[in-house]
Amino acid sequence: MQNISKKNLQFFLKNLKNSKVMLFSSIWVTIILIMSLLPFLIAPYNPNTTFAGKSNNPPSITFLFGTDYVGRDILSQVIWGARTSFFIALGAVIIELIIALPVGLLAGYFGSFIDQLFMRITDAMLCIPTIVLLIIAVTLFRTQSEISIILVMGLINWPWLAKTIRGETLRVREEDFVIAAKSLGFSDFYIIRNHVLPNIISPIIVISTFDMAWFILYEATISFIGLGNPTIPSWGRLLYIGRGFLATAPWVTIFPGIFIMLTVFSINMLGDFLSDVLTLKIR
Amino acid sequence: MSDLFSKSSKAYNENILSIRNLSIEYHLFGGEIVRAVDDISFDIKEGETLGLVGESGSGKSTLGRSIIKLLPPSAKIVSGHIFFEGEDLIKKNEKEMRKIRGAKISVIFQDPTSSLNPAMRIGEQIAEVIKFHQSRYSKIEVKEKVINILEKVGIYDAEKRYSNYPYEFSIGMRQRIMIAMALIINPKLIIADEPTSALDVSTQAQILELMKQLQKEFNFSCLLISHDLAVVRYISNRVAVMYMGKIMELASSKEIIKNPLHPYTEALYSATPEVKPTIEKKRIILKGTLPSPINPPKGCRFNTRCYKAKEKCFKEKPELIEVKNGHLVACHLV
Repeated sequence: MQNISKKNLQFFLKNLKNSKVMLFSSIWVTIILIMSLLPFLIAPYNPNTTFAGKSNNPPSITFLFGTDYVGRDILSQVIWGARTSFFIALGAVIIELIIALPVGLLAGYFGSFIDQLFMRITDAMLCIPTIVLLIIAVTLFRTQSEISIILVMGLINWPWLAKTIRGETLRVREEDFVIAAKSLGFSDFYIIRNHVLPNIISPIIVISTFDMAWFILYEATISFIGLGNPTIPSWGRLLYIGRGFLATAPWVTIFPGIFIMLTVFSINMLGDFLSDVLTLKIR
Repeated sequence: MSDLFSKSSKAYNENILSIRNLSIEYHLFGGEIVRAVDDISFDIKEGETLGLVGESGSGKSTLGRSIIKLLPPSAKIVSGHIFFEGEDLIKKNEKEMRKIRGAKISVIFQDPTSSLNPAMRIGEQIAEVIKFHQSRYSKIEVKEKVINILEKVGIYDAEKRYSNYPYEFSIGMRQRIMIAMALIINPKLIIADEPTSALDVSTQAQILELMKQLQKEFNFSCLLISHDLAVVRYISNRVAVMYMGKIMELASSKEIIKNPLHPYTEALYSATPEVKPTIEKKRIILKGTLPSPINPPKGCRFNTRCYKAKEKCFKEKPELIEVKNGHLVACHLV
């Protein structure tokens, strides 16, 4: 969208200077992004290489974050794990947007029968706890590929987003400019695309960011209970491995734990901040 | 029903819009029915401006909206015809109506702040109308047309302003943009629904002056809806006074000021402030407020507040009759 103008960018940069939390969050998310895009350049070792006789080594100069019980470098695994977490979260957000956008927009704009139909479906999905659905779905799929995890998370989480989009659409639908657009003879789908969507895009972006943080947590949860793919490193998988050695080798869990916490925190802060930046223009 | 208006669509020779016996009802949530527009007939001639005055709740906006068939879902057209260029709009379906809206009939809304999409550049918003209705123009031609119309409605530096967002304009400027949007593909009829109510007095005058001038240039007919008799008088050829869904009086704007026949028109006129303090005007103060539209008074609808009401007014509904050439009144006292 053409939503981010010069003013928004100036506002963003100005606030970045003033708020240390914002500055930290932006830097942190940038680091994670670089890690997930170029892990092969940053990671000191191959994350799956086992170093004989180096099992459960504490942090040292050769292994900055220590090693796990089979002697793999934790730092390299954390760096490669960023890629897993980030891409799975991004993929799941895209999947949920693909479903939630049309459902929310159509239900909110047309109301009546379509609204009833879509909203009852979402209600039915909302009454089962997400994490339970997630575990059932991952078990049923049996494959542990990232694609299936992305699909499952996207397919399970869309009702929340759809409800918000519907609510926002309901609000915008009653605005005078939508009535004005109708009085100019525009068709409904044209109005939805060109007048409704641009005006609800900022809450959608904000919620999608928050959802990304959730998906990182969900992915970690799935891996933590041992349902993830054992061949690719992920933060949740590291927690799963380190669980048995909490007393003897706490670094296996502590470092990925810190990464999960800081990433989720930073993304949430950025989402919050993004909502301020994006609503700026409408006023 | 009076036979003042010919009932056939053949009346379209000089009349761009002919409304015949139009009734619109609102079906409220509790099952109550409000007749917002009750058996109304009038014509708008080509190039003419008809002013529609009335207080809030008189049904004037409902009437305006019904012409482009964009009524709220609770409202229904019960009976009547709306002939536009000789064709009955009531019989048209949504798809056919879309081709008329914006292209042949445009609406100027009351509040230009909320009627413009806040997330879209104003030039694009106007260009959109051309793109939707006349796809034959190229991008450059469309932009030229938009800049041209922006200049005509008095936006300086139109080429630069093209890519500004609505919040970067003053409210008077926004109303000019709304007018540009309504005029961009040269519609035959403009429905101006309280176009100046949201503006301050000095801007009001500018906008009215602009509309007068544009009407000469674009030669559109106009239905001007307003609660302000002064505004209506300023640019209308004829004025219709509405009260509780009925037309009380219809005459040329000169005639209605000089010689108001209906007590309601007299009261309405006496309430408009006079610029010259030397002119002494008797202020007629009506008692009470609008009666409930769910149970409108029997007989003349104005009888609860009329200061001249007689016994007959409480029993019989007055018909709209032609008193003088072109001067129509619905009152027993005339």
